[in-house]
Amino acid sequence: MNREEIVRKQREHVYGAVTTYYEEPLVLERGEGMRVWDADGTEYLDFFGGILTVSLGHCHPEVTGRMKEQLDTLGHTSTLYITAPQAELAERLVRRAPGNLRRAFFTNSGTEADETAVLSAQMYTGRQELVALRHSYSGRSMLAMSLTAHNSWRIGGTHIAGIKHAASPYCYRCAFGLEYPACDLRCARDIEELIQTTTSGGIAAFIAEPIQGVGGFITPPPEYFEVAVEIIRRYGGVFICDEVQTGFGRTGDHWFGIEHWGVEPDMITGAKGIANGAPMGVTLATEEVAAAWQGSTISTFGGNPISSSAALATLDVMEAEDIPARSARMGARLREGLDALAETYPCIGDVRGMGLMQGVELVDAEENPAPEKVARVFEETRRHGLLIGRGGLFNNVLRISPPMLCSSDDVDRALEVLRMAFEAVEEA
Amino acid sequence: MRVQVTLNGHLSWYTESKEKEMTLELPEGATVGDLIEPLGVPPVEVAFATVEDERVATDYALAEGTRVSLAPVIAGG
Repeated sequence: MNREEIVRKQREHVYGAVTTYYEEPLVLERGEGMRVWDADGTEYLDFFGGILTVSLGHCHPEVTGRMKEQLDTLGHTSTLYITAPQAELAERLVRRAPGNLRRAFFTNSGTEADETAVLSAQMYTGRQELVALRHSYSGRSMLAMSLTAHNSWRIGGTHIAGIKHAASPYCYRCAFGLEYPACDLRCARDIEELIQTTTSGGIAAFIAEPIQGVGGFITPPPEYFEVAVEIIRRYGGVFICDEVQTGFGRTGDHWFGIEHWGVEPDMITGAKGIANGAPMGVTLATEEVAAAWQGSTISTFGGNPISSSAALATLDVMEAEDIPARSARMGARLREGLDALAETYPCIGDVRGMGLMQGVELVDAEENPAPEKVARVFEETRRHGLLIGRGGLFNNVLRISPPMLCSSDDVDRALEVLRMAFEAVEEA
Repeated sequence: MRVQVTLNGHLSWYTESKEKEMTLELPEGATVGDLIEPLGVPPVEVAFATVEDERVATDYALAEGTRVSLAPVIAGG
């Protein structure tokens, strides 16, 4: 099939709502390491990794090798039977997790992981109301969309009641018009009034991402979670840390994003990068929270042997390569380059993020969101063979998150392409 | 002629009224592409348009009473 035929089939038979990047959709055919090739044979340097999912690069031989081996041994069982890959993965993940997280429940996606965590919190606390953050993203189920705080992703109205959204720790566009540190963490402290005024006075959980991914890599001030979680616990809630985008190793120096902030979550949800692209979601919980689940539960595909083997192989490579340290090192190089570009190009309003999770917010002369500039950067970067992501409530943030085995040369090449793209934006 | 427009996602922010649904007065022979810019919506922000739930191109000719829905480009996941 040629490119045109593939596009035609997609357009005729896949939900029209499945929109794609770029004016002319990109049809990818092959990947290897940091690079992918389209149906016409054009090569691209991938700095988005299928939405922060291809942690180690495309078709990493260790991961695909272990998956193939497992496929030939045992492909599917459901959780009605015990398999070594799932049991071993659970042990490995809870050992890596911060604090007292001792139990794992496997699913297929971040959406399901968040669903599981919220239900666990409600059963554990006996309460129903939740606090989430504005600019957050939790997924595409009805609960996840109700947790999500982007109108674009809250399709069909508000499906689940009892979810209150606190101000995001979005310093560049502070909801209170304040500046850190003089703000004294007003966004975090306001959670107390939010609970007092918009809930029955006790909550089940606070769910938040250490860095808000879809929100445009919004990175909170260092003390944010300490202040916010202290309030949450005073009102009876548990803290669900959504590490779907930040885990594992992505933010540099640590395996989990929350470890930067010195707060121990009661639950962690993960997905995306866990298995280098094999579908997997996981909810990690303390012994007490997990024990509060009333009745039985199963998952047909959750923890399936192939995805679990992929995750184990991914963890092995991450440990061997010391991915957290590597993310910190390559992330610093990337950040230094982006900061330098921000000095040169006024369309860059803010550069933020940690490790290999860097966001660049594009603005006009009055610092209003400039999504049309992002669109231009997208077409330019594609033309020069670089794939990046976009996000933000205003659709005006570049999301840069390459596979974490990227080299210095890869980072330098990405920065050079971005420079050319910003040059084109400023000339337009 | 009058056409009814639905702006999905964040597209309504670009309009003065910020409303998601509106009726527009357009000259005879106007196309889907012709209604995007007067709304203040950057054309690059529109992923696709539908008329009566069928996807249409920007050169689709509008008629009195046509209901057009505009979907924004994707930015998440």
